[in-house]
Amino acid sequence: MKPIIYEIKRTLTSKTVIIILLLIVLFSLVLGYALKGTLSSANPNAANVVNLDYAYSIKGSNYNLVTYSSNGYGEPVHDVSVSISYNNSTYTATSNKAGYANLTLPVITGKYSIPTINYSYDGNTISRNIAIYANSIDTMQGIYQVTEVINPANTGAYSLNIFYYGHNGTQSGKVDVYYKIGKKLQPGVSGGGTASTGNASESNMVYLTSINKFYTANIPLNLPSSADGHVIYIAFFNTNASILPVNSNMPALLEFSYTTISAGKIKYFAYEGLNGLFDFFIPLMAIMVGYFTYGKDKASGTLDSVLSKPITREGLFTSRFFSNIIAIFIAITIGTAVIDLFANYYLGFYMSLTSAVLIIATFTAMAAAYLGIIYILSHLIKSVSALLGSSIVIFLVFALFWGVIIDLVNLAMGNGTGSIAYTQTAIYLSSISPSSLYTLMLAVKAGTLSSISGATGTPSQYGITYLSVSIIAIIWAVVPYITGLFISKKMD
Amino acid sequence: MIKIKNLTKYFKKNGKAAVSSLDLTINDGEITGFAGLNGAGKTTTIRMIAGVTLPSSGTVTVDGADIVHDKVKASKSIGWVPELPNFEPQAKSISLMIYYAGFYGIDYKTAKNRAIEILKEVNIYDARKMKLINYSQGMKKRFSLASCMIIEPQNFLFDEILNGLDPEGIQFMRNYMKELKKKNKAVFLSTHILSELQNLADKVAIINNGKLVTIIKPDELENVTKSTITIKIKNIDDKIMNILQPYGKAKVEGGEIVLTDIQKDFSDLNTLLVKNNYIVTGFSVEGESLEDYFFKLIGGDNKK
Ligand SMILES: Nc1ncnc2c1ncn2[C@@H]1O[C@H](COP(=O)(O)OP(=O)(O)OP(=O)(O)O)[C@@H](O)[C@H]1O
Ligand SMILES: [Mg+2]
Repeated sequence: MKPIIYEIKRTLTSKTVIIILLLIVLFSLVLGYALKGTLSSANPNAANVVNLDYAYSIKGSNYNLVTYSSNGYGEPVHDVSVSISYNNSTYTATSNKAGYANLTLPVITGKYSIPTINYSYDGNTISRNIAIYANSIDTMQGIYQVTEVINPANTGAYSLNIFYYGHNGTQSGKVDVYYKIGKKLQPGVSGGGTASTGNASESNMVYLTSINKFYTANIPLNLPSSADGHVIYIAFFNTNASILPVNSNMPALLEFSYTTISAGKIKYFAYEGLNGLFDFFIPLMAIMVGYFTYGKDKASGTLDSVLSKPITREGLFTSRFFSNIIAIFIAITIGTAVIDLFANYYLGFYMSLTSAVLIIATFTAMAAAYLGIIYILSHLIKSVSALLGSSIVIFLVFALFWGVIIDLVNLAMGNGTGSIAYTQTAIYLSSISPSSLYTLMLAVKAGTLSSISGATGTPSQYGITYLSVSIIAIIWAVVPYITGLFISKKMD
Repeated sequence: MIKIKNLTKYFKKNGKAAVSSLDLTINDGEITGFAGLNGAGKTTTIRMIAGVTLPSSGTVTVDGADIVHDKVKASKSIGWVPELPNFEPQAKSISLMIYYAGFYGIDYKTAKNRAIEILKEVNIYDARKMKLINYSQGMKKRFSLASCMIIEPQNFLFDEILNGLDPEGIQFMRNYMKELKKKNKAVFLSTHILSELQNLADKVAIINNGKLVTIIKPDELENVTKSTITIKIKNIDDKIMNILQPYGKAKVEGGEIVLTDIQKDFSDLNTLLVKNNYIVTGFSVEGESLEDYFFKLIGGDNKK
């Protein structure tokens, strides 16, 4: 039997590798589940939500009150029972297929009232106060009532759901819909409600679409990707290019948060999650494997019993190193495959072959780097406990706290978060820890440095490309190994 | 055959040499003893021969192959049983022997059969299901020997192998070494108990403070085990040497005459001395062991 096969088997069946593989499987299960949660919380089960808009007009001595029930997709909801207590009586109606329910209420001359409407569906009852004015020139007609809803055709995107009921029950005329991209969404910056029109006009906003002759309309918010993650403003202009009242009785801009969930985005989250998972476990696995199958054997003298056999020092070093790396490669591949299966189970996609190759290759290079470092230490540190201690320190510094170290260095240098100096320093320091390899790869893949905390801009601005990251990866995979090999030949 | 030339080992730069300019040849068909006190440099020498410690200078040639520059070839003809054998703790004997056999290019099946055969021979086959970490020191020595026997190398290095064995084990090892000698193998056996080598070694290299003190040849080995006569005389003069000369080698040591290499019957010696007007205050006859001889040899070096 070839000794390397024994060594690979020994590594693969070691407690370290098995336990870490099990943990990867467990955490990827949790990750898949959590990502699925992210997905569904961004896309609440919109079909179960009912929103009620209303408007009224006067016909003779009666109000004609119209309610419009729609769900979170902007789809009409029928059989919603609507009741209103008004003038000591209760009036009820049920929404029809189009979501409308009509109620006829007597006009009480000179009286302004705020009755409560209760509407019930599926055993839920929701109450809302409405204002009924004493004359026919009231605010709740001829106003566009707009809500942001989930686009039923693409649950990661949005639509505008519009209800309009004009004087005497007329439909809306032609409306031009415009939008404008506002601030980036961040803690403290979120969109919602209406904003003053300011100097908004058709010329400083972007045309989206036009709608004509409708009571209700549903327009998909197909905005460019630059709008993603931002506050957006919507304005309705009439044919005279004047801004119309929306959701309030004054001309206004509508303000929404706009964050889409695309398949690409979910994948990105999955890769980032994977990054976090593997960034922790792969260095841990490499360090433990290196310690248990080489360092400990070396420090305790066990390796001598093998070295006395017909093999050179370099031969033994290389054979152990490669058996370790092959075993870790197999473990990474199994881990990636398991994660992919979970991703498919929870999120409905398989990663592309390119992504899989990139993940496996990058993490194998990372593992080779850590393994090489431990092998070098094994030759420099003679006692088992000092070697174990040093291995733990390597893990803590390079794998666990490197991000903190980057922050501290930047803090000491006085670089502000998000500045060019900060980003530059973060990238230089990232290249010094093998743990940053996949973060850099992912940054190139996603075209953004957002995976490096506090960094801004695009990777290419800082020379981070597939080529440069691959070169860093190769250096990390090869240099510690070669150094260790050299030391193993020259030193006891 | 192992040729050691000018072998030197410094563990620390500018420190004391653990082994210093050692020259020694370990011949085929011989059991070469290697004796020295604790810390004398026996283990360091043996580890350098085994190829697990790198010499600082000097060479070790094993059947023509240099242990440093031609290690694979040299290692093929060495079987080493270390002082404190240490193996992959979680492994079991048979699978570890199959792994070792792989270094000699022996296939799985052959290796397994051979392993079982050898483990029975060294009497640890019953422990085959036990992890090596749970072996006793003596069992580890037996396993270490077993792992050398996979291919029966030409040269054997036994570092304090009798130490820690039970009487049955000691008997087995002594017989085993004699067997190896009969098969024309070269055996190198270290010990700090010189008497272990009596009736076993063909020659004994004495090492002290890393330096080779002497090599006791087979005929000397026989001689030194003969008696020594210590005579205390008050009025020593030059003439006395003429009287003692026919009896053996006489030396004056601290007011005493020590007579070694006894050549003739000395029963009349005391009377003869008295007749010649010497005042004899003490006359003792001792059978000197290797041990005494050894301490005598290194005594001067060792007074610190
Ligand atoms: N790995 C090491 N690092 C530093 N010094 C060492 C090392 N191994 C041995 N020495 C030193 O080299 C000298 C020779 O030690 P060695 O183990 O060869 O002696 P020995 O003759 O085998 O002794 P013993 O009878 O106790 O086994 C000692 O002074 C020892 O302290
Ligand atoms: Mg020793």
